[in-house]
Amino acid sequence: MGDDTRTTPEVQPGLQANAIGFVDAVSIGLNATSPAYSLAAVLGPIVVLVGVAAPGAMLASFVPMLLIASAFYYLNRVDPDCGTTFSWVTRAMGPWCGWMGGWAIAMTGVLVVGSLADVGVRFTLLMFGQDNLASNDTVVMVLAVVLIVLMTWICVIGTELSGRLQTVLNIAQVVALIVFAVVAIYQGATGQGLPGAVSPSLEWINPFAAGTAALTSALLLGVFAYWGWESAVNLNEETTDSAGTPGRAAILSTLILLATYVGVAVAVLMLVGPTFLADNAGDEEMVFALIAQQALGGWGWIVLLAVAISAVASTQTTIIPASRTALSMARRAAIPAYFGRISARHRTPAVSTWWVAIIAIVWYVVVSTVSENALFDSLTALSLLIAFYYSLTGLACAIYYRRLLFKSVKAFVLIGLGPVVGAILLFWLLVLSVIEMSNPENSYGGVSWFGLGPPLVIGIFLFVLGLVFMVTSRIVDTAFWKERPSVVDPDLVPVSEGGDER
Amino acid sequence: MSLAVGFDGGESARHALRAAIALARDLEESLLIVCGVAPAGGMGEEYDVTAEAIVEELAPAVNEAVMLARDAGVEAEAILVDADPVGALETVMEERKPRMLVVGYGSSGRIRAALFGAVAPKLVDRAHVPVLVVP
Repeated sequence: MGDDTRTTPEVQPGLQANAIGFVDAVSIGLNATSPAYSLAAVLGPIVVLVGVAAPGAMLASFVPMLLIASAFYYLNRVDPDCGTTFSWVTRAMGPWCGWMGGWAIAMTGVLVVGSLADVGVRFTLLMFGQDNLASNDTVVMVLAVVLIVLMTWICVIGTELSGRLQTVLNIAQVVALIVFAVVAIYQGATGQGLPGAVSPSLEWINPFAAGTAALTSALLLGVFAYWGWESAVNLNEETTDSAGTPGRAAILSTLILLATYVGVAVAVLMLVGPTFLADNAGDEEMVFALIAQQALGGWGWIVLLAVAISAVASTQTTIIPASRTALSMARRAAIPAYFGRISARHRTPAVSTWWVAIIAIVWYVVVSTVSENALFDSLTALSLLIAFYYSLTGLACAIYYRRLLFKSVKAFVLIGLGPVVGAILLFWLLVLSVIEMSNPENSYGGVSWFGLGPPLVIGIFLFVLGLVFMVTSRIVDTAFWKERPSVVDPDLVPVSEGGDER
Repeated sequence: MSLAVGFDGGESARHALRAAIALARDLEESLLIVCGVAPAGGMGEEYDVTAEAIVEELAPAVNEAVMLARDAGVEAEAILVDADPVGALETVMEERKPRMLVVGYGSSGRIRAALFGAVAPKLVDRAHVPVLVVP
């Protein structure tokens, strides 16, 4: 070596650290959506909202998700380094849209942590038979805050579950859900359901069967249930057989996810029916636990354990990306450099990670104290933000690729039309929901804040807060605001999709 | 032949570095200063940005370590590997065939080591050359 050691040293690749096999790839696809937690969080409210149309709503919500995932796939391919909405939207549509997209994605990641911890604590308590403690909101809140701090500390010191253990946990989670669905459907079919249980009909998979305005709220929650699924299609070259594995793994994990969601929705309807859920709507946090115990009796703890593990493990997989988005924004001078500080020893963005926890805790405590339907309100508000940044990403995809869209049919359909239709669907859902929630009589608990539904108030509050921070950052005038929109470099795209020869 | 020392800029790693420099000088071996720079938390969003930030953060400490060794008259080279600290030393062990690995005992922190295992014992498990653990 010469005297070049003053410069930043080269980084050498490790020992195939990133090669993953088929089972692991399927597992990652499932992990990103945390099916057990998602079902526990949203299935109760969805059934209360649309009744027997719940399975249909679950299916329908997947359509925009699928179209937007295509946008994530194609954007990731030309700009994999940063890999999120913040970076892509900035490149395609300029810093203003990019900042709001980054804000929405970071906030959703931060604000869902409280709900994850809450569900994790409640289901753990239920699993140990502490039903009284689980319905004591103060006890749950204190334990959930402790859990958030603990999980954040684990993220800061950079400890992770081994990939193998994550795979086992993910598969166990889905198996528990499927066992529950099969048993519940069997009991329902043999007449062992509760008096309110209903007999299955093809109408169930028609999302418009309920025909009410409540459908928009249900679809919004459905989007939340699939949130994160796009990362299942983003596993490009890291797999051991990059030609076939990622595609087949993504298809299989998707089929498993759809079957689980729809199956569990059908099972719940056949076993207990919509009236049971409506009667227990006040206990929405635990309704899934009640149903699991109804179906499996003494074995109900299997489902409780699956939900608890899913929720607790997700706090980690949620905190890490949120802190990295903040790090990325700090490094591009979109937010102060302070948030980009790294702990070299632990190899983690320590400052942004602790801030994620602080904001998550403050948010969780405030919403749980103020709101009567805390879980539903905050998840619906999050879904508004998710729909917002997903539609932004769909548009960004078509805009970023605009020069290449008309060069091949495949490019037009998968990169242009699909993402744009997905963006329009989600934006339409967003608008409908906003109109819906402007009338508090339509809201879940009939509660009104300032004459609006609570989730809308929360959503507007977060959006305005983002605007304030953005304008402050614009006034300080950092380098980020000098970034200008660009288009895809054709050399990065295969000829079949309109690109130039590599 | 050479010696490889694991380095993360922490207090314990500095003890290990000093011991490794002294040893390399006495044995007239060259010294490989090895850093794992993969972001903790594995793959996923913003991985590369985080990795860049880690490399930038570590670079001054690594350069300082190389200078320290050279001032002591030891031929030294820094190697940054896209892996965790254990993986980084393993990679260097396979590719550069050092005659010994040197690590600090406390580089992971005591609580973390108690709960999740430390670098030194994992390394002893996987290494096929002697491992010197510096207290």
